[in-house]
Amino acid sequence: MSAVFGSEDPGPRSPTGGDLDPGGPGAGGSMPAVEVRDLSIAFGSREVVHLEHLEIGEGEILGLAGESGSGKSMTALAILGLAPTVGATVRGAIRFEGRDLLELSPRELRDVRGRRIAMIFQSPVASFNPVFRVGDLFVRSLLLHGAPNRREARARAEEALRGVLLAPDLLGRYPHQLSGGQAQRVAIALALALRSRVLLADEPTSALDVTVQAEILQLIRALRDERGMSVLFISHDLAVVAELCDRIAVMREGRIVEEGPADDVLRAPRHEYTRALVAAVPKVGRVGGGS
Amino acid sequence: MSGGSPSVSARAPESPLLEVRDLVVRFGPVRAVDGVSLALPPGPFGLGLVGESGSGKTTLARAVMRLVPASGGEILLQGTPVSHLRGRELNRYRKAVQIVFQDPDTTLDPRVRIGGAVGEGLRVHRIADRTDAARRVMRLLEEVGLEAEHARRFPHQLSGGQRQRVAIARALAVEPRVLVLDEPTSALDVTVQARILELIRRLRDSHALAYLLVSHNLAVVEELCEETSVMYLGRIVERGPTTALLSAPAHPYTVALRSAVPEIELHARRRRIVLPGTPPDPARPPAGCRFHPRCPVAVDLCRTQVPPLREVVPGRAVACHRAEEVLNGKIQSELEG
Repeated sequence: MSAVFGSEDPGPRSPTGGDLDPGGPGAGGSMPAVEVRDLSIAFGSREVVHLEHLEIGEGEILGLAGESGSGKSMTALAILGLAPTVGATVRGAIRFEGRDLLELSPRELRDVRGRRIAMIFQSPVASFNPVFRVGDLFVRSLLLHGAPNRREARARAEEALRGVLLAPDLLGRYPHQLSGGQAQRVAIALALALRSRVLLADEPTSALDVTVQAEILQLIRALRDERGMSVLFISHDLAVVAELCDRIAVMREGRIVEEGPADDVLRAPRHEYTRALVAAVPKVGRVGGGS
Repeated sequence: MSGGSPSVSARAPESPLLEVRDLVVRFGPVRAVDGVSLALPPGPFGLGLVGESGSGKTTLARAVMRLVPASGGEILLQGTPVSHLRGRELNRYRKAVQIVFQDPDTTLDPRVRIGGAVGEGLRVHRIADRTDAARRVMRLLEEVGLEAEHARRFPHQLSGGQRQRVAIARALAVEPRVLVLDEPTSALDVTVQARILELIRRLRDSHALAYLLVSHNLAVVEELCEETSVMYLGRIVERGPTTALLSAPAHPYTVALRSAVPEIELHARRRRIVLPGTPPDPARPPAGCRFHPRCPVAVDLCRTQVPPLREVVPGRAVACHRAEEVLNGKIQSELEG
């Protein structure tokens, strides 16, 4: 993890390491939060993802960039243990908190999924059960994952909403009554309430307006800076990845073609495909430069 | 994608090809478009219309296509009002003004081969007979970068980028005067988007196209449009030459929008202005300036007086009481909060 360019950056982008992490293994955060080895995801005989090695550092925001069909989302689903639910076979090892997630029983995996690793999606409204109010979604999840009673769950939900700068009265609303930005905040708040250590974010801002996107990126950055959360940020948009991430892995056809500190990869891409991807990003204000 | 961006020449004031005057579109209590005026000169010319969800930009595009009825104002093609056109005249208008949508999947019939889809307009508008139509379809496919053999394929056998090329070829088939491009690359991967933008630029020059490009993406507008209008809650808040407008925005909303765009280049990254609150309910827009509840530099005047869209510097119009101060950087620190 390079902080070489940290001083030039306008925002707090340099990784905080493990110092804010209360329960992290080892001192100094040298152990990755998640480590993927020889991961193979296949549908029947067709292998769609093959990763020799990928790690999300403790308190790091890792960007996973690539175009449609490159295997980014499948990788996240596999980490969450959900790839088999869409018919994929997963082989290899995914180390998290000293265990291999691929060897856990369904019950153990459910516990990890709810409490330790959270995932947010492009369309959060679609991943909420539409018949429950936001408050009930929180209470149900929290009761399943360790809250002693409803009152405590409710209190934790309110605290989490305040943590993402939402008014607690949103708990009384149904998912369809939320705007896109609010829904994404609620999804993040749920991860906060469950005290997740790792956030898998799959194109979480791709459906949002650019001003709302800026708010959500700021929020994700704050989760890392203030709570030491480790984030896997999946996006097709290299500019967004450039803004947010410490490191970038570029995926193409199921493989990582280039990986490194975000600024290095974007400034001097080594792989031809990364170069093409960087060149394709439309840029605003090439002429004037602005403010 | 460097260079070749449309030059902003000082045009002689010629009569616009397409004009929108004080257009109002109502949906129940919501005025989705609330008194918008636009002028599109003859091509090659790109007019960009940017804004976020709910700004009314897509409704405006649909009203221009006469896909939604206007409740007030007027749309004119070469000086002729089009709101009352019926039957054959309406058909003629629809031939002259073609639209390309964001998602070609919803506009291409899955059971019609590509050749049929592209040639449909030629038959409907009786432009060409069978053999001539076939020949023209081949030429169009070639122009948009597809192969002759694609004519025999079905839409699902093509990629998203190829389908968007088909949609463009189909719009061009009837030799329209005006093209409306509604988020033409928003559903595409970034490398595909770059190629489609290139295609539009090439066609714009070879066909002298005049188009209204609706987009939430400032970079796309900058690539393809000489002039840009920014919409917020049904109204135009700023308009001007694209380059000037984006490099030195004069409306606080444009400033915020511009600052929110993520940048891949390190030196281009800057402080993001995060707007407080959420966009207001369009059924009950705030009094005064519609942007004032979220505006970092709003003053008392903004809460009561609607700022008119006025020319602040030649060629640039802004609907903000404090436009001059924004433009000359006097309230930069206030803006950044």
